[in-house]
Order: sequence, then structure tokens, then C-alpha cells
Amino acid sequence: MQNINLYKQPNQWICLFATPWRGELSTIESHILHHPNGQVYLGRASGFGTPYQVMMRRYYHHNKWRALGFGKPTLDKYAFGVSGRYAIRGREQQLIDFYGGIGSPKVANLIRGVSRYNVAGRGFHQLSNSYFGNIAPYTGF
Amino acid sequence: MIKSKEEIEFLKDWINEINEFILRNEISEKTMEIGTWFIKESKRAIEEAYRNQNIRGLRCAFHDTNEMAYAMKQDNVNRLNRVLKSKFGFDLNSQNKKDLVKIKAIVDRGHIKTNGEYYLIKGRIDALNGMDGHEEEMNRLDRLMTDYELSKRNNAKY
Repeated sequence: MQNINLYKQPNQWICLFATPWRGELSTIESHILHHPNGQVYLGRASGFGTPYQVMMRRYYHHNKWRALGFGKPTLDKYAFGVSGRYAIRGREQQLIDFYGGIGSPKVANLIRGVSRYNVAGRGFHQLSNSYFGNIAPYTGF
Repeated sequence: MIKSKEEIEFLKDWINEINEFILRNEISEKTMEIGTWFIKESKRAIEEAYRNQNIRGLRCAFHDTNEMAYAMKQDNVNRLNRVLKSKFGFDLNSQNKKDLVKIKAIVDRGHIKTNGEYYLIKGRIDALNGMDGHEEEMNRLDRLMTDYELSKRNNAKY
């Protein structure tokens, strides 16, 4: 793996690596964080390990959302491989739309999972339908 | 700076090249039907975006396609890089370095300005999740993402 040191400052440093190879065996999952007031934050994560482990690692780094009271991460769906990655991309957006979409008081996300302008968005959506079934209509352009 | 027309041409060719490669080399028998359908659908969407000169949509697909390519088997990533290098003069690693430079600039600035930058950081976090030794970077990038989302919330008009 190529190591590129791009970021260094006194007292703090970050070593930015080239995007690591995740491979066909990596897991990708979608999850839901719950707030006691009923709001949800929808997300996805990938990595090695069980879907639950992947979700919990991502949750661990959701520092501010945790501080704001979002907890009880719930695993939604998971998949593997190249097409599985894209199915989860579609699933994340369908989850957001299922709960009311961006701007809904129920949804804490303020940015779509898949950009409305992304020309691959419809493909993600259909792939998600094939993998997990449809839970919301397509909302991109 | 590549002019828009040239960039659109480049984006279309680059994405199609990777999609063709994935279709030929990466789709397993188990996912052949759905994988083939997806690659063909992507190709159709790219051609349509090209006809409409939809540079914004193509840029989104460009980043997603590169991300997808990195999810292939390592042997295939290496082979694809050789194909890209011979056709375009550079490969996924070169593109990845460009993204890392952009990410460094965002980290240095201390905040995300646009949704495009947000998706870039999100992709980076996705790549790092579960890798040992990246906790500090993950925390920093996650903070940038959350700050951006919360700033949008404060400005949101429902």
C-alpha cells in the first residue's frame, strides 16, 4: 500500500494513505441511529468483519451524533462484493426517503446519501430493489 | 485546467472503460444477471449524461466508479490500472492522489464547503472504516462531516 504523508502540523498529524484495497470480501451495511425524540440518522459503512462489527466501528466514530443523543444503532441490511456496495448505496438513500426524506423532522440527515444529480443514482436504486426489496420511490433526477 | 467539453469526454471514456473492465472481469456467476444489468444501466445513464452535457452528474459517477473499481480483487485493480495508464496516461492511483490532496485541503481549512466535498470525505471515511491506525483521522473527518451537516440544519428552511 502506498503511503502518502500529506498532512502534518505541530502537535497533530494525520497520515493520509492511498485508498486501501477493501476487496470483494469486504462487508458493506446500512444502519439506523435512533434518538429518544424519535428522530433517526441513516448511514452506511464498509470494512472487514461481521456486519455488526462494521456498523459498531462506524458508530464509534460518530462522536457528535452520539453526543447529540443518537444511539441504539440498528443494523438494517448488508451485502458483499462490487454490486453489493452499490445496492447499499441505493438502500441508504431509500432509507432516508422511507423516513420522510431530507428536511423531514423525523430525519436527522441533512445531506442525501446519493446526490440527486448522480447519474448512477437510478442504478443504485434498482440494485437495492433487487437485493433488498423496494421501500421508497426513486427521488433523484 | 481541462475545459468542460474535454472533461465531459474524458469522464465518459474513463467511466465506460472501467465499467467494461468490471463487466468482463469482475462479475461472478452468482451475481452475473444483476451485475450485468447494472453495468449496462450505468453505461446507458453515462451516454445520456454525455448527450446532455451533464458534467455534474458525470463527476458524481466518476467518483463512484473509481470507488467501485477499488472494491475489485487486487489482481483486477492492478490489471485495470495498466489498462487506464496505457489509454489515459494515468491510473486510479493518480486519481486517488488528487482526491487525497483535495481532502488534505479540506482538513487544513477546517470545514467542508460543498456537498461534493462532503461526499468526498464520506467516501474516505468509508475506505478507512475498520483499518487500524486511522482512528484520529476518522474522528477528524467525521467531525468535519457532522459540522457540515449541523451547519445545514441551522440554515435549513422547512
